[in-house]
Amino acid sequence: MDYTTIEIIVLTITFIGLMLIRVPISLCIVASTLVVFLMEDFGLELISHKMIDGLNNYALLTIPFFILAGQIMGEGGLAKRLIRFALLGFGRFKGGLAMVNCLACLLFGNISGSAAADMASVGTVMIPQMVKKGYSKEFATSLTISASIQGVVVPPSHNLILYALAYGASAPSINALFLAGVFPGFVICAILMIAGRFLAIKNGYTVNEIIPKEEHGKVIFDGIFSIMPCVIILGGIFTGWFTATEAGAIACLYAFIITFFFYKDISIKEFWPIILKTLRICSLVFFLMAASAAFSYVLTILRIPDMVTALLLGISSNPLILLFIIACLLILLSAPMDMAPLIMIMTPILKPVILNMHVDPLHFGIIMMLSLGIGLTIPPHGAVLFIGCALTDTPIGRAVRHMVPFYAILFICLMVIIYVPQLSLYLPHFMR
Amino acid sequence: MADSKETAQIQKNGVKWISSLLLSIDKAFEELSKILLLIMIVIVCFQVFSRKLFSYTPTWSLDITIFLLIWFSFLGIAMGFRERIHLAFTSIQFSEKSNFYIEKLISIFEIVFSLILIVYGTKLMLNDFGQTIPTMGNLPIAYRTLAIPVSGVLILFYGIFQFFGVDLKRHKGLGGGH
Repeated sequence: MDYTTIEIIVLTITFIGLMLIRVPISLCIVASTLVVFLMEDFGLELISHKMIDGLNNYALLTIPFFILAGQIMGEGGLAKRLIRFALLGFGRFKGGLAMVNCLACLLFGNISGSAAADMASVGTVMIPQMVKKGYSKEFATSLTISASIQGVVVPPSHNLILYALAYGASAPSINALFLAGVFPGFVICAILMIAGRFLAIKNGYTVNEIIPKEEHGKVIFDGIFSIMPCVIILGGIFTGWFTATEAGAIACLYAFIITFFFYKDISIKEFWPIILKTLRICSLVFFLMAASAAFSYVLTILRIPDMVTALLLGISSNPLILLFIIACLLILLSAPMDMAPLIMIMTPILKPVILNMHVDPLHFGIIMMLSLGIGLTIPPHGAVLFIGCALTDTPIGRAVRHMVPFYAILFICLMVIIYVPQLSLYLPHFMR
Repeated sequence: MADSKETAQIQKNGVKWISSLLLSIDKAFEELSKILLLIMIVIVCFQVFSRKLFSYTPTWSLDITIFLLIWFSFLGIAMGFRERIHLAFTSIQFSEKSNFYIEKLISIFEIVFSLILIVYGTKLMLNDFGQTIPTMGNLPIAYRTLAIPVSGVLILFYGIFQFFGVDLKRHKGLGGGH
């Protein structure tokens, strides 16, 4: 056994061993990096150096900006307005509330860029409303859980930004990644809406909800102003007026003005606690960024990505088969683990595989987001599943049983995204 | 008897005074990171408006935002240790007794990590006095690197307190981050 192999084994054991006893994952990453640094006899300043390097990136600012904008809008009654907006279009149909749910999740995701926020905000308003109209609690919960996954695929998903940052050299721009997420988002939403409606009618949930004519004007007005941040982001990127980071800052400014001076659902005193929530999410994301910067350096010197590439290409050289295998692998990995660490760890490992198969990194980014997103709904560690169950007091086992048809639907969505790369690539290539 | 009572009282007051001092320092850092976030938003917005309206792109904005970003991140990382919100693998349940030891072990890891940040962060900082940021009045980049040892000191505090089972969480029930 040569020295590198021993190092890899020690690295793996340290990482998994510490992870199992619940040491924070970022700290496991630092510890396993540290072990290899000691074995390679590197100076430990390098760790601090790499950590600060990982954070010394203007694009990283995009993450707190979009999270803050989403939080302000979310707390300010965004979900309520978007749901009424969606009701206007689809509430009149049989099984329409299921469709409204999917659309509202897409729209909310387009502003918050986060599945958990999507689940918590849309779920709080939408699930009781569906139950009132005769839908079963389990159906409403599992539908919302599945629909909120759109939040990690559509812009401004902060997981997509993490992917761009983890990709390292010659990474696709965040602008291009955001554009790549647009059509897949629409397709997932369409598939979920059709399937949701079908399942709702099959289960006999057919009561519709029509918004009275005299309220139409206000609902449309509110709806348009609510989806404006998304228009600012995509419009700004489309026209080249500003970068993704700048779009984030402008979205914050817009969200602040509209929430505290026009909607006034919450008072300006709530602003400070909202920043605190943003701070919390940034805290864990940034620790992960800093730790992974040192870790990916270690991965490279141990040539782990090359080994994984050789292993995977040994199974098959057909990109279509390999992408399927990788997607399944990502879903399996994400069942017990969180999404962000997996993005940071798996992206540099899988990067040479992608390059070898000539798969566009934009396309792969979207595949990764959706695969890991599906992982958010799978026990034993599905964050969105847990939030959904906590919200409606449903035991996890029961929710999972009702999730089964939705797992199938989400898997179909994943297959569509994998095998129709044009969906992800058309917009960014069109804009180039 | 009376004497020892008095000493105990003084000691107690002393501990109270020190702990309230530490807590207010801690609080100050937290408020600082919130303010840093707001300043960054204002700077980037200003950059967009000045470019679009007056065709003037400030040269300093990029460097100063990154400077603030580094401080914001490292203060945030330290705060994450206090609130114990850094993502961990929680799918396995342990017995209460082993939980007790695992908690101690985790605190020890945190303390070791904080020491690395302090020692090697300071070393890195001392090396960084040579380089300067021209757009920020030739400020040495060591002031940016200083964020590492400062964050290390905070994590050391939290680690030690957590080792002795003191819960320092300020905020309960903040939402998740996916």
